[in-house]
Amino acid sequence: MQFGADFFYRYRRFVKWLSLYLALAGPGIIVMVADNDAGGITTYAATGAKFGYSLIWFVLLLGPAAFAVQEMCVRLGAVTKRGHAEAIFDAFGPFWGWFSLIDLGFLDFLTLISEFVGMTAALKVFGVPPAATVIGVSILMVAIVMQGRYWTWEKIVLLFCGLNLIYIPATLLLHPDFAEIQKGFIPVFPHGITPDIFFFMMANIGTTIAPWMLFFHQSSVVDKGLNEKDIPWARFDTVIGSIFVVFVASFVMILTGMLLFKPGGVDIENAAQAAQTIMGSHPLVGDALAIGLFDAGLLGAICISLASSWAMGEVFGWAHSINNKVTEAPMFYTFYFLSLIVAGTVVLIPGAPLVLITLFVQVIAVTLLPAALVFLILLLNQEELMGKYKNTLVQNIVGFSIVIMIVVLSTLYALSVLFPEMFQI
Amino acid sequence: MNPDEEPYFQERGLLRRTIDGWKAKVGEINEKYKEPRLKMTPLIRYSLLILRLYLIMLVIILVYKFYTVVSFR
Repeated sequence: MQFGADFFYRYRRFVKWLSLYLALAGPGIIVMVADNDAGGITTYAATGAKFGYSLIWFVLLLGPAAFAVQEMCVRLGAVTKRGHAEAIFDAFGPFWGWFSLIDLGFLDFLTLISEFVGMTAALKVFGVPPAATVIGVSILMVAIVMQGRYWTWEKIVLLFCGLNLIYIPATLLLHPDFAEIQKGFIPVFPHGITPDIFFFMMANIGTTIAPWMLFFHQSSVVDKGLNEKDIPWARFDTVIGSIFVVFVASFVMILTGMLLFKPGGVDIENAAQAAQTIMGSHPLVGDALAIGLFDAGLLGAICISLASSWAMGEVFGWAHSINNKVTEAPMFYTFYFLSLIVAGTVVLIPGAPLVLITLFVQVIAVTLLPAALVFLILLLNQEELMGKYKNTLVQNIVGFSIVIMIVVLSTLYALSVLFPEMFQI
Repeated sequence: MNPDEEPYFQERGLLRRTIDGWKAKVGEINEKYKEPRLKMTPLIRYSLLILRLYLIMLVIILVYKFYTVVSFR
C-alpha cells in the first residue's frame, strides 16, 4: 500500500515536472536544432564522406562548447529582458551597436540565401522546381509567424525540430556496425593532423557556433517572457538542445561514413549531392537525407530571418514580438517578409554566384562572431547588470577558453577559405 | 501649377521624407545610446582595443584578397 502511494506521488511529481518543462521548453532546443541548418548538414555529411567515423569525437566535444555559449545568452536575456543587439547598443554605445547590427543583417541575409540554396537542392532531388520550393517555403514561413502567438509558433517549430531526427532511423535501416562506430569516439587522428582534417575541424566549429544563434536565443528568451526564476529550466532546455545537435550531427556522419566513405576519403560538394548518390543504392535512406536537408534549411531560415527582425525591432524601437499581430508590428513583419522574399529571389536568379555566397558566409561570420562573443562575456561580468547571475570564476575560465578557441579556429577557417593554398603542404 | 502637386515632385518629396525620417531615427538612436552604460574598466578597454585591431586586420586581409582577385582577372 505504501509502495503504491509512493509510486503515485512520484508519478504525479514527474508529470508536474514534465508539464512545467514542456511549457518552458523551446528556445534552447530550437536554436540548437536550427544550428544543424543546411550548411551544417552539408558539413557533417562531407566530414563523414571524407573521414568516415574518425571525427565523431570532435563533434561530440562541440556540444558542451555550444551549450556554454548559449547558456550565457539565456541568463543575459532572462535577467536584462533585452535582446543581444539592444544590449550591445546599451552597454558599448552606437559604434559597436551599429557594427553588430549591420554585420548581423548582412550575414543573416547571406546565410538565409544559403538556406534557400539547401532547400531548393533538397527538393530538386524529388523533382520539385526551385521556384516552387521558394514560393512554398515563403508562404509556409509567413503563415507560421502570422498567427500572432509565440506559443503556437514555438510548438510548430518544435515539430520541425522533431523531423531533424530522421537521420537516426535512416542510419539504423543500414544496420550499422556499432563496434566500428565506437572507435570514432576515441580522440585520435589516424593519419595525423593533415591540412584536410584541420580544415574540416574548423568547418565543424564554424557551423556549430554561429553568430545568429546568440542574437536569436537571447531575443527568443525575451519574447517568450522568461525571467530569472526560469533560468534553470531554460538551461536544461539548452542542455537537451546541445545533446540533440551533436546526436543528429553524429548520425549524419555515420550515415555518409557508412555509404560514401572510402579509404583516402570522398569529396562531396553538398548534402543534396550525397542524397542523390545514396539514392542509387538505398532509395529510402537517400530520401531521408534529402528530407532532413530540407527540414534543416527550413529551420535555419525560420530562425535566421527572425534573429535579424528581432534585432532591428529592438534597436529601432518597433513592436517586435511574435505575439503581435501584423497590424500591431508592421515594421517587424515587413522586415521579416522582405528578407525572405529577397533571399528567395536571389536563389532563383540564373547565374547568381551561390557558391561564392556560401563561402562568403564563413568569412563574414568571422567578423561578427568574435565581437558578439567578447560582448557576451563582458556583459555577463557586470554585477550591476546581472546581479547574482553574473559569471562565476569557473564560468569565466570556461567561457574565455571557449571564446579564444572559437575565435582562433574560426579565423583560421576564414583564412583557409580565402587563401586555400596557405593550408596545403 | 504648383510643382509640389506634380506626381514627380510628390514622389521625390516622399523619398526625401523617408530618408529624413530614417536619418532622424538613426540620430535618435545614437543620442539614446550615446553614453555606454558599461564602466570602461581596463579589461573592457583592452578587450575593445584588441577587437578593433582584429577587425582592422580582417578588413586589410579582405581588401588584399579583393585586390589579388581583381588584378589576376
